Amino acid sequence: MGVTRVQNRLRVLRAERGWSQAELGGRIGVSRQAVNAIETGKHDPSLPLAFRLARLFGASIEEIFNDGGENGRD
Amino acid sequence: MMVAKMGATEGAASGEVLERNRRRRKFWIIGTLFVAGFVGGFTAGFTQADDLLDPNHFWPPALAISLAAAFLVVVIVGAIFYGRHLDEFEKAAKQKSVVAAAGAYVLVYPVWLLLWKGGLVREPMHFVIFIGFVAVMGLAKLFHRVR
Repeated sequence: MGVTRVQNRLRVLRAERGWSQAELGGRIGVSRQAVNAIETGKHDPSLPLAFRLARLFGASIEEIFNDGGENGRD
Repeated sequence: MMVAKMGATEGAASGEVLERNRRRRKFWIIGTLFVAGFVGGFTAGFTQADDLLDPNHFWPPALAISLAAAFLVVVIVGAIFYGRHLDEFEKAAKQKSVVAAAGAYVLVYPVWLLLWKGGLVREPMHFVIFIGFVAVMGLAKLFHRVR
């Protein structure tokens, strides 16, 4: 069974608001490095952090993250 | 909970300010730990400089007890305070680095011991093994954070 790579639209959503990685990190209580790691797919956020991101951007988790499966949008 | 907290402070401080403050608190904790470690190391080095690492030379019990107690307090209290400022990404990197260091220990120590038993190398030095453990942990943490 292969490892599922989760993709996300975090960089796009952040850019739409003109936020830096540090700005987003401060708003959700994580470091700039954490935001960068999530954006580049090197770190999959925990469920609580995914919910915080979803609330911050006013979107559902599936609108931000997808694993390329049936519900994937990419 | 965190969202509500963030929302409440949004007006007063931007995310960048919050992130900068968080980084600053971590810096002060690390700085304090560094100073404490330096004071302990300097005390041991200054008073026992001639035979610092000689296995046959014993330190005064009072000095040994003081340093051990100071080490325990600083490391435990420091880890608690520092841990409060780590996010999940940093915690994950920390866990991976500990696993890497443990893996290195499990490989290095038995090999060193066996080679020593064969008369090929000198007896394993616990001090070197400890320093190696910490060094591997630091390198692995750096790798996981910047890769």
